[in-house]
Amino acid sequence: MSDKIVFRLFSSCLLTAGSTRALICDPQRGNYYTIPLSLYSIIAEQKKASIEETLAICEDQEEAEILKSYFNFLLEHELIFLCREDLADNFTPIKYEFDVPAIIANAIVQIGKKAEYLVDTLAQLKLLGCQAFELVVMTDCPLSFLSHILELCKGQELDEVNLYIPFNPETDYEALIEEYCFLSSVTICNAPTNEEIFLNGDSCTLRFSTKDLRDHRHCGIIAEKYFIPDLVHHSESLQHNTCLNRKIAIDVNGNIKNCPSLNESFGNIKDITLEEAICQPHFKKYWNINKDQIEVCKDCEFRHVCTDCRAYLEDPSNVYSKPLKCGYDPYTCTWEDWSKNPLKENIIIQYGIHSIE
Amino acid sequence: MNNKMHLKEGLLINTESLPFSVRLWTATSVQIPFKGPREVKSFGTREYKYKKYYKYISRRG
Repeated sequence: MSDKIVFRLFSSCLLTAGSTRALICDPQRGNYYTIPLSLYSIIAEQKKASIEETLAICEDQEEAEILKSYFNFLLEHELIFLCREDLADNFTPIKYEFDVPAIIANAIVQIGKKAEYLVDTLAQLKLLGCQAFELVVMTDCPLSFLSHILELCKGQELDEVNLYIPFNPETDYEALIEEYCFLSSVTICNAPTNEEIFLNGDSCTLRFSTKDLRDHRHCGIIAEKYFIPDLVHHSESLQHNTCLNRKIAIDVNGNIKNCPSLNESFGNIKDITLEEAICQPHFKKYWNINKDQIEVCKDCEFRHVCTDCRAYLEDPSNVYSKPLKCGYDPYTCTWEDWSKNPLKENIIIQYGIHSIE
Repeated sequence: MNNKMHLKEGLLINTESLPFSVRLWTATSVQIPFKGPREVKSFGTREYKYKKYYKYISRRG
């Protein structure tokens, strides 16, 4: 029996190296921390070394003190643990396999005044195993119409329903959410103020926005508030595109797309079924573009907690280009306002983003 | 065997010298002291996994 005590990274903690620094993610607590690349190497190598052996390789006392403080941090936050050397191989690594029981896992559907194809679309999505659904009402939305479409969504066994509707001063949104308790979020666009309220025991978010967020050009934002420090997300990110994988969209005219912001249509819902659209050769072309293939993102330490966008790119001619709406520079580890970057000005105009309300 | 491992003098690291309690894995079960209530979440349930996975169908701002 060995008496040597070595350190190990908890199998559930995820390491991602960037070009300048690395990220250690604790998905069970939903936390993540940036660490220097030198520390990343020490942890990632998983040599059966003790902390004192590792400290001994430091060049001077100052470096050893810094490394010691990092070890204290890692132990304090339960990112690494100590064990006897002869037991160190007993901790099985986690498998990063990803799958969900669905051909299409999430959908965005825009509807107009009649919502004529909504019933049929919902039925088709159910057959495809769709679990999460975003409904965007592109026209005026009196309470009677809103109740009508929510009645159609009721009983669809969807895990998540997000609703984007225009502001109507006569509608009692809180009462509406209480009645239709399957709603996960309701976003009221063109509202007089910006406000966020959590309802139904925090299971639903009622958001008022002064902007018209129904406009797809508002989408594709890359920001820290949208990071997902989650094992399922991390596993998906290693193999697939974290926005477009198993996604389908139907625009207000019934055109079937990968995303409302992308121009390519795979047919109209009035003419073909969703399954027929999915079977077309190019429908899945974005599904396997992961962050390790995307320029700049592949050097970013946040790439596996982040979500991608293939609709708005820094270089529209290159499908592997960095998302336009990302203001993070992994080479300097700084965030900036992407919309004020002079190098992005022409592209912003090209996409028509400059003119949205 | 004492199920709480105390490191003897001369070993490579003495966990008791650290400024916080360190969980040490041994071949026998270790009684981990109860640290107080943690945030309640339905980990492992279908709702939790799917809610987390599909948190952002779109990101509009």
